[in-house]
Amino acid sequence: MSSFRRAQQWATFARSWHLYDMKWQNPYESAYVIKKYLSGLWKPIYHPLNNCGDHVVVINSKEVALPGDDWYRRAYFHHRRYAGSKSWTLAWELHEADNTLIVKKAVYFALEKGLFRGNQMTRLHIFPDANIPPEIAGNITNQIRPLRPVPSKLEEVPDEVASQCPQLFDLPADFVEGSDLWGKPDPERKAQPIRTPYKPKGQEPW
Amino acid sequence: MLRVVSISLRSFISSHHVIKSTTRSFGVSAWLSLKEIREKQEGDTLIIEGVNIKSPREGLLVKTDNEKGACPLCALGLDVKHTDILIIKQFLDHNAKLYPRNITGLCRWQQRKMKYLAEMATRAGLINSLLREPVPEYQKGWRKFNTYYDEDEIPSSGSEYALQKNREFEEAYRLAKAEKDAHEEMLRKQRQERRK
Repeated sequence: MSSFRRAQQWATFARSWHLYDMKWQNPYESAYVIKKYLSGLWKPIYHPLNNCGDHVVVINSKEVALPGDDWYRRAYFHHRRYAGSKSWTLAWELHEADNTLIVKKAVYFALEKGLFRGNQMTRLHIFPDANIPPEIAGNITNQIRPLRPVPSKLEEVPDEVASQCPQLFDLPADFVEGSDLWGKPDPERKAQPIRTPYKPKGQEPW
Repeated sequence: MLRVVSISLRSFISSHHVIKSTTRSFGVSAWLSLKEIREKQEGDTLIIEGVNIKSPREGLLVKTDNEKGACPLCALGLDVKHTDILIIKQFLDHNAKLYPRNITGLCRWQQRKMKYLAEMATRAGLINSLLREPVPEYQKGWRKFNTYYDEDEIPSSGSEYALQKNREFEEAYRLAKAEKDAHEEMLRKQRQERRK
């Protein structure tokens, strides 16, 4: 075996480290992206019994985003096997208690059931913000592309960009900016007579 | 310091009833015109002048002239998301309230869609700086976490639904007719072969 083939063999079976930024991402959708790397599905040497999964470092798990009303519609069930000890925790209550738990559970449910699941979960490293310990940050070689773009708030947009934005329509000439009067009835308008209901001409029955 | 205040002429008149009779004289232009009213104090005399100002959007307008007279959003074919706050902001006034249709010039569907988009952007907390006072309830409970919305879940209005059904029916009718024509063509060819 040549030295090149030997190095290729090492590189094939080495574990690489990936970074995933969870800012404004749906944890339940991105769990299936993370699953691909955790279980090594993207590798040509993949086999369910082959232990070839990678490490994934998830940052900014505090800033995950859920669609619509999911924060108070999703409930996490837990039972301690004692009488009357069942509990349903809403997603926002769980996220308040622990910033990393929603991502962890989402990835856990996305992974395939089996004896390898716990082993794969140990290779998932979740951090609530962007502060990673240097021994972990030194290993990262790849960043996974996030699923949806991070929206910017209006106060974060710089004035140069906001003032140069193309405008779709112009305000009418008789418009007064900053007034609260548009859309309200004219205070000096006289009372109008009540309109009679519409009667088409020539349609009278008599 | 010269203080430049932009207020409506009507509200100015109604709040100062004293000079109501005197201001009647210079009502030559439209009653509610885009004006700046400047006040100057020189000794004992107070000088009030109304100056016509240019619209701040004048140089930035996009050409949306359409032969069929489509509204600006339909003419450009824009797929506006609730995260496009710089577009949504143009349709909102200083109270983050949507302008009526005679000001925006949108068609009925786009106006309705813009109503939902503005609400989505408000609930996602993207245009909080436009609101006059931040709503305190928006910082409590689940509202302090990030939320996004799906534009496909905007409910379609009745006429939109009817048009969509009409389009589906026309498509199905066209396919069925093409199939029938092909079948008849095949039968005709078979008949001709038999005659030969």
